Amino acid sequence: MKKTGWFILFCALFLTVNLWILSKGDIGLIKTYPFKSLGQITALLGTVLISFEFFLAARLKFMENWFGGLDKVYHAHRLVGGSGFALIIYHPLFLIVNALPNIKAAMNFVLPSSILSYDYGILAFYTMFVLIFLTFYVKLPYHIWKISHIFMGVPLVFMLMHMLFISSDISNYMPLRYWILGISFLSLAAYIYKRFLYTRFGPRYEYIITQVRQVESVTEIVMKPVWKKLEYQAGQFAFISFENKWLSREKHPFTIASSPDDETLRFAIKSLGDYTNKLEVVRAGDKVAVFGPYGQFGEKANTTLKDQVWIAGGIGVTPFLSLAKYLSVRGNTGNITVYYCVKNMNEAMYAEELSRATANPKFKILNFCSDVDGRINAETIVKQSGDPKDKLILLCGPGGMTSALSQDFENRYHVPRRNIIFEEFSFLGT
Amino acid sequence: MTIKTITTIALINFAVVVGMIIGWSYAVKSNEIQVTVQPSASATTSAKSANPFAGVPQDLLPQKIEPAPSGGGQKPVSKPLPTPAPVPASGPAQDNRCIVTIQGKRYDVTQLRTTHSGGDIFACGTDMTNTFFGQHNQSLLDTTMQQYLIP
Ligand SMILES: Cc1cc2nc3c(=O)[nH]c(=O)nc-3n(C[C@H](O)[C@H](O)[C@H](O)COP(=O)(O)OP(=O)(O)OC[C@H]3O[C@@H](n4cnc5c(N)ncnc54)[C@H](O)[C@@H]3O)c2cc1C
Ligand code: HEM
Repeated sequence: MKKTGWFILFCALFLTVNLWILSKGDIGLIKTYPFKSLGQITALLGTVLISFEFFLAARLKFMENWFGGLDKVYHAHRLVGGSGFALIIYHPLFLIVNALPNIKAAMNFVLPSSILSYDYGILAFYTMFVLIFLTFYVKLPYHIWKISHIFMGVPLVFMLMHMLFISSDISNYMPLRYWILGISFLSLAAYIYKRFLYTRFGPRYEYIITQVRQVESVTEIVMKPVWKKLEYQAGQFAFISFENKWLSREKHPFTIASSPDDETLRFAIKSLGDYTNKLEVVRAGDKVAVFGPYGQFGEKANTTLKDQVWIAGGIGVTPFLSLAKYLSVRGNTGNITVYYCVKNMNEAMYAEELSRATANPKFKILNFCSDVDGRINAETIVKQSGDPKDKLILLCGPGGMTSALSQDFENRYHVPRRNIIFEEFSFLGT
Repeated sequence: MTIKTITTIALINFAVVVGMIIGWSYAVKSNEIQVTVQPSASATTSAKSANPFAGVPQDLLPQKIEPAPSGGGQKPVSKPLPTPAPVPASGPAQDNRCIVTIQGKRYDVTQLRTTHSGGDIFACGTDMTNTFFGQHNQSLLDTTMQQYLIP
């Protein structure tokens, strides 16, 4: 896991604290008015985190590089968003305590009054509260939750107005003012890009479906480029949106299951909910907008000479289809053992395709059926394929399986964390 | 501890504090009503009847003794000034002025109540040094505020 992103965020927070201290002509003031000071610093740090949150949400390429893949960016987004909001909660709270026992002054931080600059802050706080509440405490279907989440731009605008109009020590110290307003306006730009420009000007490629195959609950879709081909690495994913009158245009992330050498793109999609259940309506000839590529799941596997162990759970096989095809033909790689874990062999629709990789003697494919063999665990893998300490381990599958296995490899078999690579098939965490 | 737990704790803290001050402000309001129906209470000072804490027993109110910032900058001095809250009756019973104390001096903020950009937050008859310096600095006190100073 790359740490650059966390380091940069830490530096931004550190800079903020220092600028805030500098904004106080006299440091003793922090001690004299402790609640006021806490109210200020929570607001500043919360603002930096929330601004960063919008950069994390804008699917920016450099963010992927900083965090090691878009799924890790969204993981950071969850943490930063939650902690940013928690800090923002303490901002009015400390100011209320500071104002006591003057209840009227304290109430100005809770309910809108005639003071516009305060009111913007209050509106920002309550709108963000509602949206975070829907994220954390209400279990909405993803596409409905996503619509609510788009409105995160509203508290951002209120937050900006609040900062522009409020008069306090902070607004008097220009370096701090420019820093905080600067990153907040940049985050507004990131929001505008993601919301209004990404669909047209983002990394968009036009494709047309050439083949659709339905096997049990999996729809396999093959498509060819209309103009330009998407260049990607084996193991990456893309957001796709179908132009089909029976389907909504929402973009969903799916791993590219073809090899970068192929002219066509292939996706294997399992029916798991509202949208994926309807995918049987797509037909050859339908247009598709493909946004990507994203993710860095295959990055090390594509380049390392180490031995590798790949563990695929169910539809989590998709990145390995791409990697196996690509590396078995191309790469000079170490030995690669692939565990394809399914419930029973009827579900192992890609077993045959994977076994074609064994034309390259470095590949070994092992099918693992939980109905017969029980749940796969690190011990079984170590018994069959030897000491994992110096191997690269790739995991993709249901959240429970990947986290249990990666913990076992790390704690019991001392595989360094950097050699355990996993992809979550959900941005909301497991 | 997950990020959701941290947010939940913060929200509970917020709910408790806000719940308490809303409860408190209701208690204060009902006490104010009692004060206005008892004409004898206004005999002390009308400034007191505009005080949101009027009628609340003093020992129930949080007592704040603040270090009073000295002139030029907001440097606190080591010896806190005595807190003359509430301001004792100074005029006739019909005195409708709102008087607050900042750094030991008395200011008549009656007009300011309607024009103050921070709203009518004045607790008439109390020492508002802390509240004032919570939002403003010494220079505002030395300049704009001088027009409200009671000589
Ligand atoms: C990096 C990545 C790669 C993936 N690769 C594959 C793949 O190769 N094959 C495959 O079958 N599935 C893959 N998925 C999972 C796939 O995206 C979801 O199963 C699908 O979006 C579910 O949509 P739904 O409306 O049918 O289900 P719902 O029941 O609405 O959603 C189920 C879960 O899927 C996620 N999800 C739903 N809609 C979206 C969306 N628009 N954007 C992001 N997440 C969403 C949410 O976590 C949600 O809780 C991948 C997911 C990610 C994040
Ligand atoms: C202060 C808090 C937060 C802010 C300001 C914020 C803001 C945003 C914004 C602006 C987007 C892009 C929306 C779009 O235009 O498509 C986004 C996307 C997203 N957010 Fe947040 N968010 C916050 C908290 C959270 C939390 C706590 C979670 C999860 C628990 C979360 C999960 C997501 C996910 C999964 C997406 C991706 C949607 C997609 O692009 O498909 N966010 N967020």
